[in-house]
Amino acid sequence: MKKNNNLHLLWRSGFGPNLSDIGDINKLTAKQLWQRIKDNASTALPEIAPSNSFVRDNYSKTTANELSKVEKDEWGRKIRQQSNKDFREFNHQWIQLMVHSHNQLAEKMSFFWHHHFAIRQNNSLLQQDAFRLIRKHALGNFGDLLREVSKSAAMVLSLNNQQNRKRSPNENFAREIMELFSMGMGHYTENDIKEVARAFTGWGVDKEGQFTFNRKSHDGGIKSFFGRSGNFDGDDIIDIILEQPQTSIFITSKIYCYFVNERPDAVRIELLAQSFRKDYNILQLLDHIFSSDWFYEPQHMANRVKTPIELLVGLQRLSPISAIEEQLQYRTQRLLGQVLFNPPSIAGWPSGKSWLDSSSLMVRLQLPQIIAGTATVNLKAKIDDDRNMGLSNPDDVIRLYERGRIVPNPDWDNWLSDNSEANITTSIVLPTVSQQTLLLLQEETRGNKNDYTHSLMNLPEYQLC
Amino acid sequence: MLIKRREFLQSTALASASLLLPKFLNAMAGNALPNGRQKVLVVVQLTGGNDGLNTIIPYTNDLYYNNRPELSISKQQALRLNDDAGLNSNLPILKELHDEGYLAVLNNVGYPNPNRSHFRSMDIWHSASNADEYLTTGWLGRYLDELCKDCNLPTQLIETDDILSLALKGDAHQGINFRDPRKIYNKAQEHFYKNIGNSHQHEHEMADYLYKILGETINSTNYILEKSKANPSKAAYPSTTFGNNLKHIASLIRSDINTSVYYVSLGSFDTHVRQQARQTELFKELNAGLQVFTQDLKKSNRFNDVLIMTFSEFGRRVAQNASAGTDHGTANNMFFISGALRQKGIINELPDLSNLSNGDLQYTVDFKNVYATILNKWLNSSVPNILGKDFESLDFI
Repeated sequence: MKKNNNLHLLWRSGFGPNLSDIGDINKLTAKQLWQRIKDNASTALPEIAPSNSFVRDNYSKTTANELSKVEKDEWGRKIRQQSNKDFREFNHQWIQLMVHSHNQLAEKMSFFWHHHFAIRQNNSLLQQDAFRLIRKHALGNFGDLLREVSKSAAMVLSLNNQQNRKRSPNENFAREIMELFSMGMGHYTENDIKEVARAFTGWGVDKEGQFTFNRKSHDGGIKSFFGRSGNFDGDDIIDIILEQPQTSIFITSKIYCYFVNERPDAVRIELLAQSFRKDYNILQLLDHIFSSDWFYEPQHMANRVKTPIELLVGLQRLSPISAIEEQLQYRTQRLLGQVLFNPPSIAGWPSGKSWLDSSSLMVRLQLPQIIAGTATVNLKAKIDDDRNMGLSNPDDVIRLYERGRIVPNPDWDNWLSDNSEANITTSIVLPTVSQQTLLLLQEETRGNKNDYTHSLMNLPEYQLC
Repeated sequence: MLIKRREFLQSTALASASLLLPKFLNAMAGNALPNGRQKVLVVVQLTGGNDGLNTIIPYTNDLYYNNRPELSISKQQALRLNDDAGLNSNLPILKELHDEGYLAVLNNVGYPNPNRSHFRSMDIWHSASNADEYLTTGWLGRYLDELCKDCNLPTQLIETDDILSLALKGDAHQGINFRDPRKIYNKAQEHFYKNIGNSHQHEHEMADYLYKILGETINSTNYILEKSKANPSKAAYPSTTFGNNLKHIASLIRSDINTSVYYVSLGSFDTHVRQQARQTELFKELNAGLQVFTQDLKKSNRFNDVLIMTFSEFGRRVAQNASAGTDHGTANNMFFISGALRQKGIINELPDLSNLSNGDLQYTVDFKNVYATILNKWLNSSVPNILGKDFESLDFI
């Protein structure tokens, strides 16, 4: 039972157990393990950055007045092409960190905030800058996180605040900062949106791709918002938003549903939110959750469908599949419907059961074989014209034949021989697998623990964490 | 194990379904085809944003030619539909269907505050959301939920693709997708998996749910495979992906399967550069497929029961760009093809090129009214339950 608690904690606060810590988690209580996870979270996260500075060096070419439209378009095309390459690198770098980093908690929270601030932005420099802020504040202060990400060029441009001017307000950002990022739908009025949009006029992006405040476009008049009136600007509005108890409830609720249970518990969330709103300390909130006894109650365990990224990363942390090449990482994400840095919309990816339909479940069940190259696969992802601009993309198609991608791993072999099948089972699969199924697995695999492990990873139960 | 099982992991996502949970095979629900013929909707998605203005050409409008010095299509090149507009010459089957009274063209279809991102605008069309609203279910998926409150064989929606589109995702049920029904099912039987299916005891709520989907998948794919073999089409479809997809659909329509919606995509129509060559190529594929498909339906006497609808996530800008292409626009035209149309030909006004919004067409018909029409008059379902409120129906069916 204790081990089960620890696995539950490892899956929720990170991407599951890995080979180096699976051995001694039996020796720790969940409280001790949580302390270790927190200790590992004190280091700053490394930045995700491209190896090529082309996009940064040439960003201003698309905005330069001295260039003709044709020239600017040509630069735009080159930048888009390089950006697509950069995104592949970002993707790979981040997956490697998710798989290997000891700071699992902060990587997991970056992933959560990447869902929350799901910016769709085709320019890699802008995406990189915004993501740096997400990583910087992943476990820090939610108020700082909200303010700084709101002031990223990626956010300003993707939610049209560049077009939000005194004479012709654009309400897109005003609506989304309240609906998606802070309070949730139904806790403000249409008039609030209008007033907030006025306050955010002037927030823009300069020719270098940096946030700027254009005083000329700013509406300096009096705005009313949540019972207060004044010559508010965007920062004032964010202050008022953070003062609203609803903001703490909305964020806490989202975190609760993600890390504990998709069915929200209003009483528990209110209690958590009360202390969260005092200083918006994200790590503190997680500490409350992961050190509570109720977090380990059986109804919260193994009730989540792994997101495709969790599935893909978890597989690499604890399985014979230790090395997946960059291209395959990327193609698999496309096939499973979750590509890092390419969320479907500003509202983020779907969650839970919406990951599963009949065909996606079949792909997921076979993922170990697909990755290992032992399954013959010929699958085509949906067209992504926002990235491909109508051109065909070799990454749309996954065709793998007998590539033999399993890299021999002596540590893995040692772990297998050191552990009983019963022990392997409870390390790989969180929900209890029926005795009858286990007997069948044993019969079929006849003591070959490697085969046994793969069979475990083909079970529907493996999809849960 | 990993190596031994290579055999059964065949070329489609659904391959291993056959090996799992045979006990569900007997759980097939009794929702077979009722007496009489069921209406069928075939959605053809032109992915990438097809250029509607070079599809239905407003050849008496000078503004069209002024905006597109190189890209416009002359009156002589177009296939005449009426005095004011003609068809792109690569779509002769549509001209034929038009002349027979089997084609309706609806112009200027769109929605308020149009979004120019492919993904987002496609999501809006798929989910039938407002532009500032994010839904995780699709309009056809919600139709399935509505239809399938107590059936456990939800094969009413079929998409011919490896990945299921949002349009077909409901809350309680999802459409079924595949590229070839023959490959849904693999010959290799594995006692191991069968046995696991038999032995599973669903101790865990979520695990139980996963096994339920698996069971549904097995039931459904069995049923689809059986039906696709019952009375397969012998027509000579073009050997393109689109042609093959239509052939599978035709074979299923010829059977008594309970499917009421088929979904097929063609693309990409995202013609930022060298539009003419790209659009021509795709239209030829579209034309060749539709030609055999409509003929096949007529021959099998199902043309009056089938409605084919085309759409794109957006149209394109009125003016051409500097790369002999067009950029993302807004409103677009839709085609409806059936033996049972009530309105025929070009059924509403052509785009008003003198009244643009920032160089883009302004929509005059909301696509939700089109959906409402189909849900109400063709699929006999509840519009408010599926689209959130009532929308007035149009008259084309």
